[in-house]
Amino acid sequence: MIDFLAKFFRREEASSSRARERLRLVLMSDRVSLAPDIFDAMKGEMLDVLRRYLEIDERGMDVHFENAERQFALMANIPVREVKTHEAIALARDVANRLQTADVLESQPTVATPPRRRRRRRARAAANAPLAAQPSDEAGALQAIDDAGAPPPSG
Amino acid sequence: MPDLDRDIQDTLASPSGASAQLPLDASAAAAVKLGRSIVVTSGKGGVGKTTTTANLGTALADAGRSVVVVDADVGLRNLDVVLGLENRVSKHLLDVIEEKCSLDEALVRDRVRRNLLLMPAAQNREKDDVPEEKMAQLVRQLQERFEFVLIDCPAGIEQGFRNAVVGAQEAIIVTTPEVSAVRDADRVIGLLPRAIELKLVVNRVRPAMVKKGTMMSVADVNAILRLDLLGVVPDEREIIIATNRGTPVIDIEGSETGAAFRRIARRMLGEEVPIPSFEDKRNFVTRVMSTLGLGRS
Repeated sequence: MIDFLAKFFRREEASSSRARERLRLVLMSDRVSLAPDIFDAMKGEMLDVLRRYLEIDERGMDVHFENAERQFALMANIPVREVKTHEAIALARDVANRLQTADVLESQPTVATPPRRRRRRRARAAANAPLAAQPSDEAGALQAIDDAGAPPPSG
Repeated sequence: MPDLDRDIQDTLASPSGASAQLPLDASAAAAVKLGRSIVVTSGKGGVGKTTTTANLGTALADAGRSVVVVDADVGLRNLDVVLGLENRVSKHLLDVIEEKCSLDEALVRDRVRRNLLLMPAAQNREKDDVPEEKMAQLVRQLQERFEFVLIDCPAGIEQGFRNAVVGAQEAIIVTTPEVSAVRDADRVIGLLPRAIELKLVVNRVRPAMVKKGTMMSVADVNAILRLDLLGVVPDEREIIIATNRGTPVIDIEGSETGAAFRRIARRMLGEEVPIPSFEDKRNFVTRVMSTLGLGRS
């Protein structure tokens, strides 16, 4: 009898919103796993930015997506060996800017990091083709960050 | 973002994409006006692909078009049963492909609608037995003879799917308002060659549940898939009765499901037919009964 009354008065949970939410999360993770090349390209660009400010231990690094309870999240564990000095950052920025200017003149896509480092990255990019995708966009992204105003070199 | 996804997934799906562009017989193309080849697919099983294929084929035939429905589900054929033609099947698709019989020997003509034909699948063979390029040729041959070639795709995304898709120019994605069905539809959309024109049919919608918030609405589903909506089919007990009998549900008088399929067929023919908002038609007493668990829905 209590069951009967409970059924009569109970309002069913509006589970469609739960379905929508679960679907949204599962599709995000599906789509990422279907596009590993894009994921690698994104990771590469993120690291380019970080490297300008930090010395990173790339072997100990772990970047992945996680489908947590309510949130689809990008989890990054990037061991930092050293924080660069203001001078080093300023120098790198200077080199990057000059390279970019040169790029515009030569209209040749490249990556805005100091030359020595760049060669090494190129070699790795060749081994891992997807990382080399859209180099011009990469430069554009760096430019955008510069425009947003990195900390001014002091001292 | 969805466009980007499709780009990526298209590249991944290049095996089927590449074979879709097989060089076809150019001389024949110039001479004959080809019919439309449309694959009905979903990824997930049990969402209503075969029912949709059978009913749209029948409705298009009623509209005076010459139609062939192709069962591409080799090893698990069912289109013959849904159409009530299972006793008349003698040869099948693989016999034609392997040149054991002619096209006409394999085609089964509907009892009532003489302009509706069925190309049955082989039941004692496997999907891997069908070479993609042969399938493409067969669909092409059928396009030369029929105004509509509707291909009933098997569930899954393996060889059977690729065979069903290879000759198609258009695709009807069938899904239901369930997480698993929409997820699989999204996957299939990404695997289809980019040249294929996509349309969406949302099947098994229960308007009463949508209203109560216990089922995702068509808008919820299409907010994710973002396809051109071809139609919405309400869930109904008539469909089970129709399947029992082996008659298409469009022949059952007063069936909402049947009416929905007829409207979809008209839209396929280019008519502007609005999609109704399927209100809960049950009266107060039935609704209370069903709330009490005494009703039949």
